[in-house]
Amino acid sequence: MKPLIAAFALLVLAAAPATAMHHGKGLAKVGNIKIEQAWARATPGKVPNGAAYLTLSAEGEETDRLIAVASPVAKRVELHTHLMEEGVMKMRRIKAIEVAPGSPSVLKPGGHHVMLMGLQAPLKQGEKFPLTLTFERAGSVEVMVTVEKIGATEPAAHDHSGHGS
Amino acid sequence: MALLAVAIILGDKLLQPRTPEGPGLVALPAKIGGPFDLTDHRGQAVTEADFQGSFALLTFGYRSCPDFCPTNLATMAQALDELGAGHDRVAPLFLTLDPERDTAAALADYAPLFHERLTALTGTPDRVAEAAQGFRVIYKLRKDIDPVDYPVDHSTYTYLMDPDWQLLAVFRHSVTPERMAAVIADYL
Repeated sequence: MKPLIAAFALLVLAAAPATAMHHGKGLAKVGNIKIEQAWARATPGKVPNGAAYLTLSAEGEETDRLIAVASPVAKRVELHTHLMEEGVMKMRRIKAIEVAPGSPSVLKPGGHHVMLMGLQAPLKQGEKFPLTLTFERAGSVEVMVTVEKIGATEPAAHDHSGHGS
Repeated sequence: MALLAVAIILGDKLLQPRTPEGPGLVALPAKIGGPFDLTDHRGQAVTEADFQGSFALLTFGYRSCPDFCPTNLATMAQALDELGAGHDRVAPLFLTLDPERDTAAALADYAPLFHERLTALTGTPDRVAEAAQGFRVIYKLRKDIDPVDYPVDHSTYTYLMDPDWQLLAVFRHSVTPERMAAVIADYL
C-alpha cells in the first residue's frame, strides 16, 4: 500500500500548478518570483503610517509586476515611491513594481516601499505580520514581515555596523 | 560705471559665503537660518533664543511620513550618540511642517522615541511657515492627492547651527551618522 500512496502523492505534486510557498523568515516564492528579506520599521508611538520593504527577484525568462499588496495590520496598503526633485522629497503612490529576470527590485528606505496606512496598532520591534503580495502573472503569496527597530535602514540579519548608506 | 555696478552685484552673489561642501554635505548660503516662534512637544512656547549658547541640529518633516523622516531623525540620534562627551552641547530639533496633524500631544508620543533630548516643535500654520521660510525649506501639503491622509512634499536637509544661531553646515538626507558626527565634532 505504502509505495502506491507514495507514488500517488508524487503524481499529485508533479501535476500541481505553481504553488505559493511561504516560509517563516520574510521569504516566499510564487511562480518564478522569489520574495526575500521582508521587513518593516517599528513605528514610534501612534503614528498612522508604517513602511515595509522587501527584495523581489524573478527566475527564468518572464518579467512580472507586483500589482497589489494587502495586510490586516493597516486599513490601506499601497505601493509608494519617493521622487526627489531639486532637493524636495515627494512620496507618491505607484501602480506596480516590475520584477525582471536578472534585475531584482529592492524596496528600501528612500525608494520604493509598501505603505501601510492607518495602522491598527503600532508595529513593535521583534513582531511579525503577514503581507499578501499579488503579481500580475504569478498570482498571490503571503510573506511574513519582520519588524525591525524604529528608523532602521536595513533588516537586522544583514546589519553591517560601520557601513552607512 | 554700470559695468562696475553689475560686477559688484555679481561678485557679491558669487562670493556669498556658503556652508562647506563634502561628503554628506550641501553648500548653501550661510545666511540661511532664521528665528522661530513655536511650541514644543511639552506645550511650552519656544524660540531660537532658548537655544542661545548651544549648538542645534534641526530637521523638518512630519509624523505621518514613515520613511524619510524617521531616517533623518534616526541619523541625528545616532550621530549624537557617536559624539560621546560633546553630545549635550548639541540640541536636536524636529520642526513639523504639518501642524494640523502634528499637535504637541502627538509629537510628545513621537520625538522622545528617537532620542530623549529630541525637541519637536509645532505651532500655527503661519508660524510654521515662517520657520520654514527662514531655512528656505520648500514644502507642500498635498491635500489634492488625499484630503485626509495627505503626503507632504518637503526638502530633507538637516541644519547645524552654532550657539549664536548662525548656520554652520547643511547635511544631505543620505549622510551617514558617522559622517554627521565627525562634521559636528569639528565645530565643538
